[in-house]
Amino acid sequence: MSNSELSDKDLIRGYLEGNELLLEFLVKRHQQRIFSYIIVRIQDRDLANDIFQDTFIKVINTFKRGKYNEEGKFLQWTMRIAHNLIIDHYRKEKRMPKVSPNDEFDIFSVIKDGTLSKEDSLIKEQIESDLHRLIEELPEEQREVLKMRHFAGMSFKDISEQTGVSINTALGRMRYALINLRKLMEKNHVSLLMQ
Amino acid sequence: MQNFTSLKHELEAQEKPRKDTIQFILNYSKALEVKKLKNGMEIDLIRN
Repeated sequence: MSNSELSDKDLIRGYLEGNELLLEFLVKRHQQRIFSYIIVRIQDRDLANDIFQDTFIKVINTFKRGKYNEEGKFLQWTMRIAHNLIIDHYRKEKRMPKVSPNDEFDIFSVIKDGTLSKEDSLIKEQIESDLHRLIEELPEEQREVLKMRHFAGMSFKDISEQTGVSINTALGRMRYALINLRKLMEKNHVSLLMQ
Repeated sequence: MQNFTSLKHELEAQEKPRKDTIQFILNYSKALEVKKLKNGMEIDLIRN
């Protein structure tokens, strides 16, 4: 069995037995999911890398102390560590209003646009404008589904009824809309990050 | 744009950390050794 076929639990067990290579597999298996979670909330690539790094330092410290017991839930556990570090960051920055501890709250629900500086607001407006422009370049069928989903907040069931296609077709159109939008962003050098 | 944030999240859902960030994590793991003293206290040793 190759390492890529091993479960997280097996990778962790092997790592704890001294096979350092298995940690690399574990980190690379989940890097995209965890880093994406961080960067959309932090919007600063350097800081997101720091938080990603700190997350795994905590993971390793826990492993090496023999205190890991999250059987089969490695990703959720690691995401929770990243989530807490993001909250710590905003607390340190004094940008987060005090809220009751609640595992489910969304950082964006408490960071209002009012906290943005004038410069940040202008950049945000520019990003939104760029994004709108690129959406208009999508094929009509994809553009229609994307707008219904994201700007009208419609369910895929409603979209399928409205457009007269199956739910799977609507889902497929949405998927290709996102793929094509990413390509257009790359081609037009549009970044969504507020550096 | 009402749902700009959720669309932004979907578009950015393919981000990865830098290679040097991954390398730092792997190096840290190799260097860290946790020793348990007789009195039960744990100390971290970082090997060069």
